Amino acid sequence: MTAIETTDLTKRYGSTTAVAGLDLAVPEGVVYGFLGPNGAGKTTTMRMLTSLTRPSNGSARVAGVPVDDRERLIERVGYLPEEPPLYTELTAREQLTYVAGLRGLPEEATRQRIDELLDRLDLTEDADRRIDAYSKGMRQKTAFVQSLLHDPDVLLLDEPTSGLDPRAARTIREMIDDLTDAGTTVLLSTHILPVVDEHADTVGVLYDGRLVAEGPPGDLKRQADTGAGDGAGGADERTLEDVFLEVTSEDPAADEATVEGVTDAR
Amino acid sequence: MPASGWGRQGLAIGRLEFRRTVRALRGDSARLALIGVVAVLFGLMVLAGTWLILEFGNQIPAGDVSNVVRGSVAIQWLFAVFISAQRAGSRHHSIDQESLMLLTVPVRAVALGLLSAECFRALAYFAVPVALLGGAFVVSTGSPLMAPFLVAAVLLFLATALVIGFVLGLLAKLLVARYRVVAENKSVFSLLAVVVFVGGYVGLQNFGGQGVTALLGWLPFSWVVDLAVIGSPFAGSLPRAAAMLVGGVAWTAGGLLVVERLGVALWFGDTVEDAVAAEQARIDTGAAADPLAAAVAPVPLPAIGQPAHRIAQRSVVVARRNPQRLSFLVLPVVLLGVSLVNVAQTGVGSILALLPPLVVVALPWLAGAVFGLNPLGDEGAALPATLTSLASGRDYAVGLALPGLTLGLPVAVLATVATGLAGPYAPLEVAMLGVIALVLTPAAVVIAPALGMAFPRYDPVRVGSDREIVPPSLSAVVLYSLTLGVPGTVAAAATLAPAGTRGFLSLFVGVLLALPFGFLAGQGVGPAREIATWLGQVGAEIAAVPVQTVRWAGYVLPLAVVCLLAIWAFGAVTRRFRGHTLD
Repeated sequence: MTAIETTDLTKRYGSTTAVAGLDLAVPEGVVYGFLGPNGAGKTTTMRMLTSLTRPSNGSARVAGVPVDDRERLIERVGYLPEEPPLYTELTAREQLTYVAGLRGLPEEATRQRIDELLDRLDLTEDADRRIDAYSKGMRQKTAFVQSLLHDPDVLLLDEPTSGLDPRAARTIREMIDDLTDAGTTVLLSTHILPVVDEHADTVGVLYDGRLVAEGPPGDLKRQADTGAGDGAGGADERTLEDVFLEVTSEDPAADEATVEGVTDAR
Repeated sequence: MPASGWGRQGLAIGRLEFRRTVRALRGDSARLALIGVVAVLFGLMVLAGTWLILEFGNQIPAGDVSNVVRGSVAIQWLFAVFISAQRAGSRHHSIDQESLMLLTVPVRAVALGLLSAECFRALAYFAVPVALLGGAFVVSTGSPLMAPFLVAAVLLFLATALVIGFVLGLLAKLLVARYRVVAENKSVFSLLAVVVFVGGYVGLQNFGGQGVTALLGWLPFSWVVDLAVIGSPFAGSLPRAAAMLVGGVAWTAGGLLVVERLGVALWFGDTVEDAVAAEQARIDTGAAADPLAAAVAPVPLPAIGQPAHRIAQRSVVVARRNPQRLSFLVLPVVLLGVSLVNVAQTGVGSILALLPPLVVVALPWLAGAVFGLNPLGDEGAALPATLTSLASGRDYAVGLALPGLTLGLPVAVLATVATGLAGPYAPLEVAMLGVIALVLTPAAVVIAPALGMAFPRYDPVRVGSDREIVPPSLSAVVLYSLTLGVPGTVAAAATLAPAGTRGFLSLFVGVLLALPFGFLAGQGVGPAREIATWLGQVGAEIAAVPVQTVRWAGYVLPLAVVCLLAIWAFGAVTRRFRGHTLD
């Protein structure tokens, strides 16, 4: 079954088009790496998929629920925006208890789950300190726990490892793998391309509001135009960064270089 | 870097800081509107003063400058010192982009930048009024020679006050940075300083008498008067004027050096504040089975369904731990208090008589405003999490209303009844006032979020140097005050003074409302005459309504309107919450 499905999804702000006719089909239980330069429309897309922004045109379903049906949708999705959605006056434990309460989760089981997740992310020591005394990484970890507290079917993560130290970043990546193993679909937006390379089953590159390339990371690297077949290097030597730079280049010559054979959405 | 450039650099920093202040103000429509209102009122007073001086200034009998006059100036100088110290201690104790500045220019330039920026800000507010009033005085007394001395006196008044204010403010900040006990109790110390100064200032202004004022005339800073009147028909003391001129310049220069030394100690020294903040950030609720409920205690929030209960708990905890977010309430409360004292002092009524009708409107107003006047803005970064939670619109409306209702309703009703019983009112009137509080408070806690969500504000403003808050929009505050205040006031007035209310309503409709139509009729607009006549008749009819009818109709109708508004507001919050997007 398809976890995320969009058809001609479009968002316009006045005369500016943030997302232009996006067609996505993300199957269940995978990590979908959502790439694109700053301002490409990734956050807007995520907001539309979580019902926080209304599409100007087109349609989208997440976990089988249309995005205009917020009541049903929010039971099935978790969302970690780029800025951690936290009340800085609360402690992490109070914040998580609060959000669990808003989601009507059973108290005793939730308490255990909060303790486990805090422990896994090395936050137990600081769980009773006010969030306004937290570092960026600690806030990020708290918000990450918050986003998956209700065990969502689809998890949308906007730069989840931003501000994290290497150990915490690794833990988050491992947790993402665990989630997908358990059947959760993860839409992962990040600028840290090796993370996507390692963990994503499929990568979609958004540029200027359009999906310009899509496919498994290995296929994208293998079939990228630049240097392919000239003996200069194969997929093993080429990186996702090369692909990204290629498909998001404004250079007309490079623009013609396409990631053939995969899904070139341009 | 040549040290001789610090003056130029300091003034450049001051200009830039001032320009940033202006730009920030341009982007803050609410603050701009507030300043506009004050500027219009203050401007009218200045214009009236200018006209009076121009008309009658030459009739002021010439004479010697007395110590009472000097003392009055000294009181204003002390006030300027306090404001300057308060601003320096809380907000301008360091420059923005401190590391950039301190690695680019000498510390003295940064110190001068801070001082000159504050000087420019003060001049932006006061230069025109002072120029108008001073210019009028120069013209009316025919003493052009006075002008340069007047300008020098004003600048010295400002500079000497600013410099000592900054020294005191930075010193206070340094004590907070160095001493744990001061850092741990800085709010208490700040409050004490404000209470002591404001108490002293109000005492001096109202109860000091001429003897104490004259005593303050011996403060050297009051001698700016002697400098200001040189060349005018008034005779000051020339030695004092000279001492002020020389001493003021030396004081300012010396003060700059002290600000620089304090700056070095503050900006390059260690601080205990971070350690204290980290300790104070640790909250002792983690061991509790329900940490959020433990954090709310001892506030007795009634147990209701979980999402609504959690929203109520969060509102209480956030308000308690970040009381600065309620600072927008200070101005209306102070204005109300000052109006009350003024009314009582002018003899319109005693405080005991005025308190009950004031309390019956003000406390429900507060109950709604504290927790619900900008709910979406109060969410801050957490708004996406709340919107994508399972809380329904009804949960959200109930959760927002619950704290104000739980805390506000008993206080509003009890305070209304207590002040009513202490005032000159009959038991029936006190009971009727109690019912008004009973109706207004529940209405307030749903009307406030409805208007706050209709006119949300998301832009934060800075309170002090390190915390940002998001106050409600001016539109929400004004509409909320009118929606609650007008019916509440009418109901209270009809209860306590039905005859007076009838007279006021009659005058309002028959005269005030009819006035513009009468004017239009005078200009030949035909239908306006009929409307003016009709309004006059309605006014006359109101005047003929029996007092008892006014009392009961004036009581029941506004309360009924408030109830209907509350029902609408509850539905509006419910709908808006579920339909809200981040577009």
